[in-house]
Amino acid sequence: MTSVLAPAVPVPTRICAAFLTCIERDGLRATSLDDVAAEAGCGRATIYRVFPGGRAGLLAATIDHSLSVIIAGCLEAVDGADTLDDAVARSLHCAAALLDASAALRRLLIEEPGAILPFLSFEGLQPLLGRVAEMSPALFGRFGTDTQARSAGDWIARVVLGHLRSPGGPIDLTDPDHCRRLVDTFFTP
Amino acid sequence: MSIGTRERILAAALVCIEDDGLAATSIEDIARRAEVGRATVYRQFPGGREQVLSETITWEVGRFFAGLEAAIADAPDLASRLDLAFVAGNRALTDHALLHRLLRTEPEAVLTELAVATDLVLGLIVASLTDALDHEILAGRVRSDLDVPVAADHLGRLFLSYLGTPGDWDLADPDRRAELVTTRFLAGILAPMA
Repeated sequence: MTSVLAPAVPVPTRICAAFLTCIERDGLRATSLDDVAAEAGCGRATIYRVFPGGRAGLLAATIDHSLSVIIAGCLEAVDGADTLDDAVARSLHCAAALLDASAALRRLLIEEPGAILPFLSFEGLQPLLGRVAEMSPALFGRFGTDTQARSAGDWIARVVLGHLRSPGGPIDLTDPDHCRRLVDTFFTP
Repeated sequence: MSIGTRERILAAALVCIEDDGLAATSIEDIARRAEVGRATVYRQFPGGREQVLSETITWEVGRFFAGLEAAIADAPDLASRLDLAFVAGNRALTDHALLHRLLRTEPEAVLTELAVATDLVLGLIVASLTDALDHEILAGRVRSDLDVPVAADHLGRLFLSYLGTPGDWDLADPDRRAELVTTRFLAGILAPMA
């Protein structure tokens, strides 16, 4: 089955989205680059051209693509925010809800955690935190300094990933009220 | 006697992992190193190789947590507990040659095993923070209206996050550590000054 994404979608984005669809449907181990190519409606050679790192490069790019989708969601969520706390609470909830809704990510964390944990653990997490820091001024810059904005993004990323890696406990980040209370109590820019 | 055998097998498995890595360690290697028969290993660990390796990682992580507990045992307040826990945890992680080697050579395998053990450690840290926060409330240093289960859970997760990936926070620098504890852990929960 080919992707239903509009042809105007850039090829790298289409390939990453196709990869996520394959992971959701078949799991990572059972997904070949041929499967991704078929899902994306392109040839295998195109994948190698766009992602020279092959399968590993594609996985890293797909994680980055997923982060961009989350940041785009957060940008929409903070549109009507009045204060930094409000924007942080909205972003926290948006990021957690989008990750919770990702069937591909859920399947990976349950069935093949080793594939994704290197990107979320120890120094392996640093590039992702770096990308969040880069994008944070766009999210929170109008409420304070760039330093405060980066601090807000870092805090959100750590909270969300802490819950992603170890689900459970008394805090439900998919509940906007929980996010707001967490920010009110613990967030300091 | 049985506990001794079990620990001997776990210690032997740890040495095997240090020598050969996770993937190359077999039940035969572990039994030989522990100087027991294969049947003894299976009797102690009916799940076989997978169970021995998993429990060895958990055992090692448990020793890491015991080190943290020992380091903070005499700390007078929450700020000191967090500071000392960061010192001990950072030193243990920095010096753990096996962890660094496995993260380089077998990241998927070691991180999968660590994920299970980390959940256990998070539970222990949250329990420890719950006791500490209750004590701090009684001492008047933390807001009496604090939701302790939520606070302990949140601070426990943040502690593991900063310990594993400090980012710009130099955990070996006392001033930066104090700033981290003050701004990221205590700022929202301290009792108002009288």
